[in-house]
Amino acid sequence: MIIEVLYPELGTLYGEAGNLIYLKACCPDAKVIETNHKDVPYFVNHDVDVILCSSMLERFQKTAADALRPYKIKLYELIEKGKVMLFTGNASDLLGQYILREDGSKEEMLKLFAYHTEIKKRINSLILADFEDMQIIGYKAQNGQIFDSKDFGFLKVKGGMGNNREDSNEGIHYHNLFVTYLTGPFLPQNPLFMKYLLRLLNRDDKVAFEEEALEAYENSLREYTDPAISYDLIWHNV
Amino acid sequence: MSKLRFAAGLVAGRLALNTFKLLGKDYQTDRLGYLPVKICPDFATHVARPKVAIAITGTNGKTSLTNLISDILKQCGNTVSCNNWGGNYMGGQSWAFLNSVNVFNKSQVDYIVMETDEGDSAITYPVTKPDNILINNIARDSIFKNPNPDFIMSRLRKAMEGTPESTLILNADDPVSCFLKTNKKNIYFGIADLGNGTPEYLINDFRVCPNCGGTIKYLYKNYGNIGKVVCPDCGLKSPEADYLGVEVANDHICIKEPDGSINRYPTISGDIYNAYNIVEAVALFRTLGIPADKIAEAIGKVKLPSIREERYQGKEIEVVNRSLKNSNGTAATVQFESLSKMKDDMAVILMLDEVTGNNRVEAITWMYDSDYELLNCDHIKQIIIGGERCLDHKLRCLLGGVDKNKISTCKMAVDTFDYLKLEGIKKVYILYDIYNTERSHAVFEKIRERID
Repeated sequence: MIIEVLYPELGTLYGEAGNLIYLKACCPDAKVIETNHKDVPYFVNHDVDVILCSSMLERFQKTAADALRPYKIKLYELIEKGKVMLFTGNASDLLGQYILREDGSKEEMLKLFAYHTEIKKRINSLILADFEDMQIIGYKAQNGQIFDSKDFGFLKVKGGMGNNREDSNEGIHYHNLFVTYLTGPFLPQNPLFMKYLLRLLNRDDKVAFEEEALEAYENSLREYTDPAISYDLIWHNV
Repeated sequence: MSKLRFAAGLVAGRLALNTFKLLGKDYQTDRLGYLPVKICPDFATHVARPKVAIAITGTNGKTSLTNLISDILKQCGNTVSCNNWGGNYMGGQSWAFLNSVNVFNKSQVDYIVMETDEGDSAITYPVTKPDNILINNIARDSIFKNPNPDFIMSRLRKAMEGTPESTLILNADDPVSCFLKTNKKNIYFGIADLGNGTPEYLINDFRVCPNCGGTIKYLYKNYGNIGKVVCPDCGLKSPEADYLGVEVANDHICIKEPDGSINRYPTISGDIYNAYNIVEAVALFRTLGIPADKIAEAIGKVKLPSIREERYQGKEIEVVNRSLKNSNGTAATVQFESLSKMKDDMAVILMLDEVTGNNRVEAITWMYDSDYELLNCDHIKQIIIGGERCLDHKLRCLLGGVDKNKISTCKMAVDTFDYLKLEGIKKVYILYDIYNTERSHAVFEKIRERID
């Protein structure tokens, strides 16, 4: 099994290394290829099973899009073929049309999907959402809000913000591509979704440290479903 | 109008400050600093200047360094006004100015020493106009607060535009902040290669060359990501340190000066990040013209602030109660790395959660920025995790390779004591989030009683 991580040097912010840590723990035989933005992605000339791309510094979003642009047709072919991909945090923006910055400037992205991103005031939010028969929990810290994405919504948000203030859909789900602004350790925090991914990969769906991961998830879920909870989080400076 | 507002702010502020002092109330508080600012927003600009106003900022270690600098200055016979309780926003800084003068705006101190928030620097520095600005390090911080170094560096660059006359004292070994430019003068401090190699950590926020986009190479790392870098593609490299630690031991550090002479100073702890604090403080004091022997004598008399660390050596076991900045992967990794390098068999108690059951859920993103893998070592015999997020910490420890049988969890931080097994161990380390200060101190005291 091959896991390709795109451009880890550009960010891997907010604990999103946790997704790779958990994937590796669940698939101990997996080989991890970390691709630098100056190199040709491994998926261009080789078969890969999973592609990960995580949050990056905003100034690197254009760098990442420019690096991927020559290979976007190949990337789209792999999406159509049902390759498992997870784009988290502001890596979500790469697959859309463009990013509209606060100063009005536009950065062109890969245009694989119709949505675009608008940079607005930063939002920190807890998220409680549904995906198929699962409840998904997590956290968002974002300047960007996604618009025009509703045909391919990934999560149905029950608590917290979706793609934008008016859209309760969160992220993009198309074949086995999962795009979400949920940042941080999405997979270890959601072991049921990790099981779902393992099934997509035709693997035994027993996750690493299953008992402990489920116990932590259920404990968090109790908190996230507490009616008294406030999903919006505000903090100094951000 | 501005003069009138300032006079009104000063009178109101001094009156309140003196009243608090007379009544025996806690007068070291941001609240008193905000009072004159409400009347005169640029209050600090108008306050009579002491000999020198010093600002200390950075992601990690600024409270310790602020206390260290203030204490050393006092030991050298100076009077100092300092917001040493960690009040690093405008209120605390304004307090340091208010406390430095009398009601007639006559300076009563030699130095103002301010801990300053790095994220707020663009707002505060143009008002306080420090003569010297010390930047410890800029690293990834709590996602709630100052989330990524890019964001903070943009604030600091803006801050420097607002205070062009300040001298900057920068950590030559912190790649994120060492390339910050100022209009006047930069002085660099650092420590020579201590032979730790270049270990990889989850957080590395300087992997891409800011000049050419090339892949940055570390020549060495002394701790965390603090070390020397070079870009093999364009030649960008860390600046040379004007004040360089050339020999670091548990009890002393030798520092080379710009003229090549070497002076020996005591340390305040055996931890490498405190060695950096000493070099940074020495760089400041030598720049201010204080003789090396006087600095060394003063350092020998100061201690780490007890709000950051307390220690007790029992008959056979030592207990250390050490704070760790909340939700901060950089700080956690540095502390875990420090524990991993020790030799004695130990138990580790983690009280790292900020939220304690008030219907707020805490994000756990930082746990996966923290290298819990470093806790997977033979001499760490037990890890006891107390707090609302104990199960998340446990999973993270397991994913870091820690043996399941070594881990205990409990939701109440104070209950961690009940799980502690002292047989065969030499040290107990409590690492606590600053929101758990009282709870960790209670556990520290219980352990202290038990090991006596």
